[in-house]
Amino acid sequence: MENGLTLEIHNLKKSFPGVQALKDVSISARDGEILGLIGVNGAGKSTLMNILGGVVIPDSGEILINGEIKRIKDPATAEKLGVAFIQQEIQLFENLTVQENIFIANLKKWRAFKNFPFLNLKSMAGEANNLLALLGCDIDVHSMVSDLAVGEQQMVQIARALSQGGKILLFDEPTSSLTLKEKQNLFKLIGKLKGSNVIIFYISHHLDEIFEICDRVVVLRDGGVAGEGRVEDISKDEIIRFMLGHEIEQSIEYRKQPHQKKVLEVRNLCGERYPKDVSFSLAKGEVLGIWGLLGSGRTELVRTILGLDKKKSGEVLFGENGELQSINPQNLYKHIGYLTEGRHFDGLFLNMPIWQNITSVFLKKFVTNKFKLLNEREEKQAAKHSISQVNVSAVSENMLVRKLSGGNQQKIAISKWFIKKPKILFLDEPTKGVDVGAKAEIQNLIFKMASEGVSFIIISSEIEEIMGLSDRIIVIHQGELVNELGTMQISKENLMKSVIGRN
Amino acid sequence: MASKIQSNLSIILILVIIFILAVLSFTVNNFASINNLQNILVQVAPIGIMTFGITFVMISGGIDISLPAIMATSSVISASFIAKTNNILLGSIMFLLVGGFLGLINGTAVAYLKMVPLVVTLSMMTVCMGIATAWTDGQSVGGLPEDFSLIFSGTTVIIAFIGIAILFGIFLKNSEYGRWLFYIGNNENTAIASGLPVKRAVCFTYVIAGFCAGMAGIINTAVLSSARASMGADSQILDIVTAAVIGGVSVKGGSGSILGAFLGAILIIIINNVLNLLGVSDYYTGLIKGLIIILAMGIDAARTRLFHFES
Amino acid sequence: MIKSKKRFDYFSLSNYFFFAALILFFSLANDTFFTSTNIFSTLQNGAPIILITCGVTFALLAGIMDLSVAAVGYASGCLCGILIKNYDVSIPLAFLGGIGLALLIGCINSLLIVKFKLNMMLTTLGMMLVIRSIGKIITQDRTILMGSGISEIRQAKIGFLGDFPAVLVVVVLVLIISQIVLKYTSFGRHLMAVGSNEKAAKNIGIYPDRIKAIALITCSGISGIAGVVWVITLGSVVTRGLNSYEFIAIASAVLGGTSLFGGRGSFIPGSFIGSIILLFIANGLTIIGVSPYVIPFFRGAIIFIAMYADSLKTRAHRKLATAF
Repeated sequence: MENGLTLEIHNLKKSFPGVQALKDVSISARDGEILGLIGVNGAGKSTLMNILGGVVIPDSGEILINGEIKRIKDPATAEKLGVAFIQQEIQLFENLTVQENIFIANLKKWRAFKNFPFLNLKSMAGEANNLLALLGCDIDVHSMVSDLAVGEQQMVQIARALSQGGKILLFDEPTSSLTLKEKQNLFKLIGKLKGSNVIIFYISHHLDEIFEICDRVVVLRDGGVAGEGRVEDISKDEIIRFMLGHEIEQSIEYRKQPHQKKVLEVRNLCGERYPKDVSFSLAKGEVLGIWGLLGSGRTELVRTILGLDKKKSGEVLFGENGELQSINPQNLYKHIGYLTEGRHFDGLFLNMPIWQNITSVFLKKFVTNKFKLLNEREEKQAAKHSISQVNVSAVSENMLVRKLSGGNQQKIAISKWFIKKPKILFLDEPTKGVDVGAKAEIQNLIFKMASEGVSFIIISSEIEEIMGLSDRIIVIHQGELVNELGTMQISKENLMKSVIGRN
Repeated sequence: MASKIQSNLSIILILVIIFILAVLSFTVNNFASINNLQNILVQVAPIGIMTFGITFVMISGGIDISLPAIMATSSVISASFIAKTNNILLGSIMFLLVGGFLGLINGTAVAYLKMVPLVVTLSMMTVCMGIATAWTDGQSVGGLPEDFSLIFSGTTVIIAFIGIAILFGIFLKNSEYGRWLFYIGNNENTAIASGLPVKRAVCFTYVIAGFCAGMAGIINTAVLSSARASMGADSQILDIVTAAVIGGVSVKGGSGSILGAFLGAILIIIINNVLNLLGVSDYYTGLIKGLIIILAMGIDAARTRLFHFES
Repeated sequence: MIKSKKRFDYFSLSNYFFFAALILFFSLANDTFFTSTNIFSTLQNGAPIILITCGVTFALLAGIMDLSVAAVGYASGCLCGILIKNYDVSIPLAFLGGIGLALLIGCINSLLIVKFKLNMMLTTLGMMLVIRSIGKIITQDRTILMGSGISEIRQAKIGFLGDFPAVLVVVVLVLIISQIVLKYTSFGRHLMAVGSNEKAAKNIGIYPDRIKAIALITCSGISGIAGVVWVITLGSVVTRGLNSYEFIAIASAVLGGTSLFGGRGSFIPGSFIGSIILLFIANGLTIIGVSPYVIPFFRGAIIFIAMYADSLKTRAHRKLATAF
């Protein structure tokens, strides 16, 4: 009988408004195991990790640690139970030193004398150095975290997790901002941690990494476990198949006329961090998909084109009838619409009524009075029209947007651009958090408008959606355009291969 | 619905004011006389106009505590000009120009240099007091032509005050620009993503506020027939902010109205008068005013939380 | 052990340069500037403001702007003075009384701002009004001349330090203790964490509300000490005492590298250097004969630059128009 750490996840279910993130997930992990977790965006990996880390509470299901049911109700509880969630986003305090960050949660332990409140920095430093040595890391424990490189910061995060007695380590896409050397250090470290009464979950899109360091791999798809197996027994192709499902590859119908006139051209666009020297063009009535992993720079690309993020170099050209001219963002904005990724953050005015949200992008249209005053009645009319256009029924235009369902909110966020009759619509995750019915409606809307000559640039992380909508797809990875798939080349395999197995 | 809450608030304020006025007319001799009521309105006018100005700023999410100081500075400069040149027309315009210019500096620092509004307007307040004191050497500026006070007499002031209130009210509620301010105060990020000229709009709110300070300066100078650096007493800014918050402005931005500001200013001045009539000494006045602001903040916080609970 | 490359802190380096240049300039401009008499008297008269700056730094580090600090000092001083003059309370007890009042006010501030989450700027502004009024009420708005007991303390000097004023010992002690608390206690480190990233702190298990409350109470407490020192150095309690000092204090803190947004700053050298820069600018300009009207301009200009530098430094995604 093995006497070690065990973790059992039984039938976890979790749904958010409009989306079932986890349908029924059961996983078991044994002592000393490194478990790889892979799946497309939206498959449920983040939700699972968030549940283990205490950030999200499951609807039903159980988690057993060492055979006992544990309720992980918040991050602090998770830590007490030994779960260390090393998130993608750095959770360190910039203005504190490395050793202070490592021990921050439990500083009282380091008092010089029992009741004397002063910290014994020397012994803290000693222990911190020990931890870092364990990780094969060479950082000065007295340096400010803000002075460290990202890879080093991650080491500090890991050290913190270990110092808190982390037994179940969750690594969420740890290599996304690391250099090659830092990545190798991380792998070395994970190897060291293995086998010492520790269970490690390793989430990554990179098949190569999973094959390099994991013992077993679990593939999530659509909120459930699609397949699993030991790394030596399973092949990359099998994993891809698990990720995508066994549907027969559908041939894409060649449904649109060849596009002639270019509407937008981007040349060598560089932003402060992303994008990096990206060039592409967009034709009239064309739907261009932008594909890539989370954090690969797709949103930054769009924001840089639109002038919302600083541009370092490069050009954007626009032309309504094929004659392209260099254009600055303020002028470009007159011809476009932009649905942002986070409708709650910057896509809607939550505490304002629907009609004010809808007319916000084009108030000029309603200044018909000779005194240059807004015609509220016309505004509300237009709003009513928009609402019906996107099939948001049974609500009055006076209702506060805050009170709408997620799907309806998203539809409002998109439809508000229609009154502007834009030539190009930039949509960032247009059906995120939207129920199936609304998804279909939004997608049909896109088709309809495209056939009327509106061009689209759509960022999506859902493979079926981007395949179904796009005429062409460009793939962005770490800020660079790494692949372009023409209509005939679009297939699930090509898309998946573009992003996994990359270094 | 924000506008419904706003209208309800205005109705409550009107009722409260009427109630207090009614009580006062019974308890104080001559209170309800036209003369006295006129006097009160003239008192309200400068504070009220500056409250309008701060309402614009606060709806878009900012704050401007330099208004009384800008008022004093524009007053002493313009009053000296009028005293010297006897040119009332030009001098009056000067009030507005100086106010607007100082407001522009505020607006540029906030919108384009991305500095914190409190800090910027605080610095402006200090600098203005310095300018005003230096300009006048601590003395009051007198020697203004009689016509000045005659032109800007009581009746004119009241008519102008109400007229400005109506104009500003329409401007805020029914113009494109006014609506922009609500958008910006509601969610600045969304406003930017929607293509609204956020920087320009925010900067201009401070210019408007500066103009208002200038207008208040004209009234104060005309009423006193003089201008001095200490016109912009410390307590005024608190009156102005309290009046705005009572009238429906939220410190977080996104709500407010001119009517509310109008009523809030009236209420504040009436409270001031009541305290005066009751013979409440200066110290207790400060105490009560401070408590009123804290109370107003409490109401604002409760309002916001009530809003967010309805989801 | 590799020493990681420290990003050069241009801001504090330029602070030191600026201060040194200042001293140099004024020393050259006028003989009486760089004398122990002048320096000590400036420091002694400026003791209240240095202490208030120290207090407000606690609040700022936690991410709270407390505008009532000067008023707290004033009221504490008033209470202290009245206790001595009218109620014949012994001097040490009166000091404690003043500081006790300050701590009480700190508790009230915590209640309003941390527990009820009222807008910190306007609420502390309102408290400022209330507390100032309380001070005036206590003293009936009359100047109170302190007697011999106080003047003895004011005039006490430490001989072997070249006639170092004894009162300044308090200032030095408070600053040193504050800095030690900040750097070497868990409270201090948690304070920086909360000011730096409140959400992450909460996730780690630090209670931000508790930390903020303690910071606020400490802030008021130190302001209370400032008020007591004020009574000593002035020798009397006057009506417009410590007027507008809250703004100078905040400006001094920012000048010394404390961020308005929390999580960054220090007592020594930070707030100390910041406050003495402003003190000696005023002092130096007066000595070389500059009109008193001009001084606010210099102050205003320096404060503006410091605040601008602070806003540049803060990488947090701040909204444009946030009133704060």
